[in-house]
Amino acid sequence: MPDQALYEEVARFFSERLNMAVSRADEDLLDNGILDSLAFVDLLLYLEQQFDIRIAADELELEDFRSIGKIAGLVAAHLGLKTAGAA
Amino acid sequence: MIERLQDWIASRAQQSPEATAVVWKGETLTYGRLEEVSNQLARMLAGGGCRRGDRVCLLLPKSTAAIIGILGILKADCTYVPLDPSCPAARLAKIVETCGCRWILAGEGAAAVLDVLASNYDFGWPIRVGWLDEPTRAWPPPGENFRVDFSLTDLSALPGGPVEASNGPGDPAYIMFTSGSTGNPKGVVITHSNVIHFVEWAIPYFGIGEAERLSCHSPLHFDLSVFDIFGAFAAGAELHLVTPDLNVLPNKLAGFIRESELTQWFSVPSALTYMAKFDVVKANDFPKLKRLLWCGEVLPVPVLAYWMKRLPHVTFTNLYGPTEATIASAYYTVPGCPQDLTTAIPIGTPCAGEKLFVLDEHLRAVEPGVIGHLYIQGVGLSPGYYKDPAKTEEVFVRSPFSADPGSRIYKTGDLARVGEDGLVYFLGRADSQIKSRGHRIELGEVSTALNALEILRESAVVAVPTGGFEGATICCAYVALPHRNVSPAALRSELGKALPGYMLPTRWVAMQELPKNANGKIDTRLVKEHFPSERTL
Repeated sequence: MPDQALYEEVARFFSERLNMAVSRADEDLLDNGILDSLAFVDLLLYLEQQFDIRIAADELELEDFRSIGKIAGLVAAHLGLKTAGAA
Repeated sequence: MIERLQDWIASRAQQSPEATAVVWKGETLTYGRLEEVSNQLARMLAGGGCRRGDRVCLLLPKSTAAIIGILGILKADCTYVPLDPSCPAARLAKIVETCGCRWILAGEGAAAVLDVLASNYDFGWPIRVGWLDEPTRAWPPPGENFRVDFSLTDLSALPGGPVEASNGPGDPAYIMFTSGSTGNPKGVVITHSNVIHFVEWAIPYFGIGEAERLSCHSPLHFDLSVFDIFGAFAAGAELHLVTPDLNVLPNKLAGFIRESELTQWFSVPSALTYMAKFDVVKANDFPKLKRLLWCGEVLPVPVLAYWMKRLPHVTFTNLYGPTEATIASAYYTVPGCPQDLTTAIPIGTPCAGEKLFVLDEHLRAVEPGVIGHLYIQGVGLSPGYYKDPAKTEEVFVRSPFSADPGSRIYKTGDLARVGEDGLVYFLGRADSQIKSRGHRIELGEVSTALNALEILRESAVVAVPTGGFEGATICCAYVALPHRNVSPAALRSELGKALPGYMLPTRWVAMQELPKNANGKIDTRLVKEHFPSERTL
């Protein structure tokens, strides 16, 4: 399942690159203070490089980054757009 | 001059009770209502046994209720101790214990940590809880181990008229705990008079007027928030509270300034740099903004130029000052957009009632241009660290420039020089204290917490400038105990039970042995070489 693969990929970034343990796909990264500005910069750079997508600064929405599940969804949407644009 | 911080609100409430005092998440609170509810809270606390000089902890996210809490505590003749709700219970417990708080005013968002505090720690006295939220929201609070003595709704039964104060200008208004190098946070005591002097200087200097809308971006456990709150209330302006989650997204911070039509934005350089990095400020953005202030760190000059080019209608002022000298002790209003991006922005000249000295090790003034230790004298100086005379005497020393034996100067630990222009320039720290995203952190506190985990043979905590927006990044090199396999994620998670997130090292290296110098001590210079700058965004 592609969404599951995306989720696992993002989860691995949190645990291996940010050294942050996130236990569930829907764990709230904002309320729990896991995702702060410092981690966010690394996350965005990672998403853009890893998935070859571009997320414009004025399109950033808190809800898209609330959990690893949501982040995977954001990536999937961008990948979908990219595919649609290429078709 | 007024005698107590709360006197500003009382007089504003009398003059214009319908004027907006606080705006938060679309809700507004008028001066009249703020005065009334905080009077009721003061009566509730006094009825609960709070007496002049008692410390009352405030454990809730920045909100309208938190502002009411601060005022209610002051009106009960007590001292407010703002706690960071995102801080682990273990560190909060040290603070509660040190300051001997018997009452905690808490609210939504702090129930979980309060529950741990109540169940895992025995302070030798019962903790009483005032719940500063409406019972309709998350009622009863989801904690199982604490009992709530009253909620916001219970206050309405009490009279809202003026409360007679017995405290005066020399009484403590708040205690803010900063990172301590030996592992225990230090409580900086600040009096009403300390704050009043700063605000009385700042309002006319900046020309803050009644119709203004001021930001409250700093968390309540940072003293920049004290200027936001009491600067706004002294001027009769609106205080707009910035919720912490906005800090994650730079476009949302810009949107907040724009949509709230702020006239003043007071922030830390890391936030300004973060917003510049993502280029979220448009040409001539924020048309209502009059002034932008920053404090707490050095703002990189290219970032300042970015802001000044886009906002030619705004005045930019650098404020400088440690918590121990109350909000800020020096200021520099930048005369024009810097052309040369390598020039340093000075911390400038002292605020009214303050003096800055650049001294050598024998407390003698150094020549202009020579680097020395920066000392501060004047009306902002804290009486000292709470219940810690040894630490107080270490840094609050008798002034060699006054015949008055009570005259003190405060050793900031910062290095500085006086320029040819007569202005003071900041040149870094003389010790291992660092600033990361506006947070003042003693690396010793991080090391002490790591050692207490007892899973490492040895470790070294160093700060490395990354060239990123955050200032210094905390890095840790470690050697695990024999036969222990310790991953950075596991270490970070364990350490997160003792330290708040901003103190956790972001980069880790596991080693067989830490580099040592000829004396057998860990060579931090060599340790730093294991953490090269790598971020490119």
